[in-house]
Amino acid sequence: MKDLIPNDQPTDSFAIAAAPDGPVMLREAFEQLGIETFQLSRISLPAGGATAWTVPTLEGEEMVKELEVVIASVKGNEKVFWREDFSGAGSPPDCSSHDGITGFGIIDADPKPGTEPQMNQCSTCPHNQWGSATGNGGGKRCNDIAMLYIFRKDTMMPDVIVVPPSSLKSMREYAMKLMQSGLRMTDVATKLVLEQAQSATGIKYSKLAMKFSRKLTDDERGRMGEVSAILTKTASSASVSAADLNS
Amino acid sequence: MAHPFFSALYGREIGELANLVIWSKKYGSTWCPDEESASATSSQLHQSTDIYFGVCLQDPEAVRNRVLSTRGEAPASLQHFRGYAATAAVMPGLWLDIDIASDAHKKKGLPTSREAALAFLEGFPFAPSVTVESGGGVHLYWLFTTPWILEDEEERGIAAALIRRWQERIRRAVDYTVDATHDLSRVLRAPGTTNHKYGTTVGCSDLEAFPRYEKDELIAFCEDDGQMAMVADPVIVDPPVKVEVSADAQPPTEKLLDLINLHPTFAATWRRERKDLPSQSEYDLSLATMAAKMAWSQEEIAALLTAHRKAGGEPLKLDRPGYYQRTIAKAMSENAQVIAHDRLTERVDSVASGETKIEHERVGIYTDISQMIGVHVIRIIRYIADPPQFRLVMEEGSIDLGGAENIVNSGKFRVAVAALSKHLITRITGKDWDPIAQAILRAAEDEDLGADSSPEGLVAEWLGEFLAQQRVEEDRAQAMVLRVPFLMSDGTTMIFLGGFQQWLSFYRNEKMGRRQLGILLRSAGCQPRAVAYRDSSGGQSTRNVWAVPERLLPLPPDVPSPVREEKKRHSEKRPNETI
Repeated sequence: MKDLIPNDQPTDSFAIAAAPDGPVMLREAFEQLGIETFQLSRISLPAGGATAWTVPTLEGEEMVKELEVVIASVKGNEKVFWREDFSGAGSPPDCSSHDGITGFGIIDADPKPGTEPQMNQCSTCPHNQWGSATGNGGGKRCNDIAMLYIFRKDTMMPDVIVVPPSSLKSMREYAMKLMQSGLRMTDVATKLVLEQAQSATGIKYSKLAMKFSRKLTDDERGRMGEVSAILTKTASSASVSAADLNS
Repeated sequence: MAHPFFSALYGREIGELANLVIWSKKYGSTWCPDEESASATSSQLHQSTDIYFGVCLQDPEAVRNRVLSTRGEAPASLQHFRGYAATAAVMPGLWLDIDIASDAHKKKGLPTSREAALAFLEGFPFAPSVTVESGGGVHLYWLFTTPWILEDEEERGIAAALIRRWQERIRRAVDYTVDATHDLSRVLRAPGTTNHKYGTTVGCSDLEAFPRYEKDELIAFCEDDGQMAMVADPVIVDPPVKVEVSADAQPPTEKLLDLINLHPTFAATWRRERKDLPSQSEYDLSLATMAAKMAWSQEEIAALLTAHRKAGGEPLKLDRPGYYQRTIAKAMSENAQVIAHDRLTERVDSVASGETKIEHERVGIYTDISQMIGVHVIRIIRYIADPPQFRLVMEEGSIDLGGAENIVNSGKFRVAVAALSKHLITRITGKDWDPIAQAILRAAEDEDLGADSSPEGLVAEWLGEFLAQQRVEEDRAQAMVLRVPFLMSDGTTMIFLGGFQQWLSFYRNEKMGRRQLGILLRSAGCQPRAVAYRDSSGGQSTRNVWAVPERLLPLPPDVPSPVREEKKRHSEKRPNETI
């Protein structure tokens, strides 16, 4: 019988979607205060297969099992390449692309001193071909990643989540399901949870799982549409470091 | 009579474009363009037969067009058509048909009383608007504030999904069996008419004051069941793709960017990086299929294709709108099947793993199978016999599939359905067929045939009725002309296979092929014979007929006992022999 009783609809909205001047504040932050997207706080997928998020709060960091967020913008065609294997440190990639078409950086395995970064065509780049990875997986040396700009319930500035290659499939499947329903990611509240997975070589890692929470109200959607437009315009300069992919 | 009931359901929506269909097995369908004619028809006919009405109003022109497109000719009248899900025009609300256990309803798992059937309403957030006492059970209606006018295929799909999920949700909450009655072409007993099975009048709750519900409120309730937002169910249609193509048409920017951003294959296709697509038409179909999967409208897909051609410097083919229409129709059709296939596989897996019960998935399985094979499957029955026999109940009628081999083998299934329904279902082979076969086998509802499951029992029953209705001709030549049963000089009763086949189809709705019927007759002991006769010109000719053994003939009450005894002895010897 309990199956017939509707779940409680969330009564608390997202701060960014509820505040009439939310989009204005965000635009001012980027345009007048000069905040760059690389300065936004990062929420990383943890290493070692942990299933709790570590999120920044005013009081410090907090561990949560689930994040309920609105995804305001997605950069889905990012590519990042490191010549050396991950060191776990925050080293920037040697080449990166924001559109999956053209990368900018140094892709030579052993560059001569003084080699300058250059434009590289992703479709013909040897590091972007399947089988180019040095590990046992047979994947690509160049990493396909996505960047999510998310708002938590109480935040007025977005956090960035870098979605590693191992979680891209589930992210895309979720996006496709929404699209099949005529919805965009910005139209809904999404729950982000972490699931433990294991690679073929036995290494445990955390995998992102996305779950539909609720449809935003018309007012919320309208405001998030504006927020999304601002972020899509400014998000192209976001950067990734090796630490973002240490999971 | 039924008049206030129909007013409550449809308000002023019954009209030339949305007919109320009054249907009976005896008289077929009466398509009523107003309440008065519907009520008059019900009043006039209900004394002699059971009267049903189509819950959703039907668009008569759409039905004519559909028949024209599937059969190649428009029907002279709609008397033999009840309408289809794809031609539903107005939905008055949601409904549920609960059968209550009785002598007439012996199916397992039914509630034993009206109180038990309606107990779930205590915790249910929506009280029914109208309750109809059908005689064998209860029909519940939750009426919309205003009837939902189904403007297009998309709305029809949402309506189909809504009523399916509504019934699924209730089915999950009750501890008894509720039949699937979610199809938009459903007919139910009309209040005020006579239920001849029980000899009672179909009653109806108070129509003076009752609750109504906003459609969106009910949609939200169904969306709240942990699944995704309400997605249109595939309603079986031959999608009438009619798009206008223009050089200036622009695909929807946000949707396009989302796909480029989140769908690598789409992005590669849009950028013409696919080495597996040798021509522009292949690119067109690929883009259209992916966009259709993301629920783009026909116009949006057309704009996508022209924009892609334009960007690539390819000819726009503006003088050939038919090309775009065919491409989009193919993409939408393929896509609907792909979605249904994926969903069907998930359903079968979840039942196999014990995550859910087949009772909860059966309706969805029927819907998905319908989408995949292109005929509207209402029910699949497995008759408990040795070996088990399967029966496919479709919107157009029902057919016997024979044994499991005709389900496991897609070719045989296709041939069986084609031969009997004259409909060539979609060709699905190899591994793609396996989930469908598995789903059919899982979803099949068991029915015990009892002693009459033997071919002899069946044929004896059918022949009894057949010969009781037919005059057995003693003049052989006359019988040859009329193709009616006749007596040979030795007293043997002969029948024509074609005549018996037609009778079975018409009176028993048993649509069997000649070969299948021949096997059945043979296994029951009938013998094929070639019988000579003189035709009207005096020439000698022969015809193939079947000799019916005496033990299969209907017995008049005064027949001497030895024949009865022989018949009884024979049936005792082979009580359960099967097909």
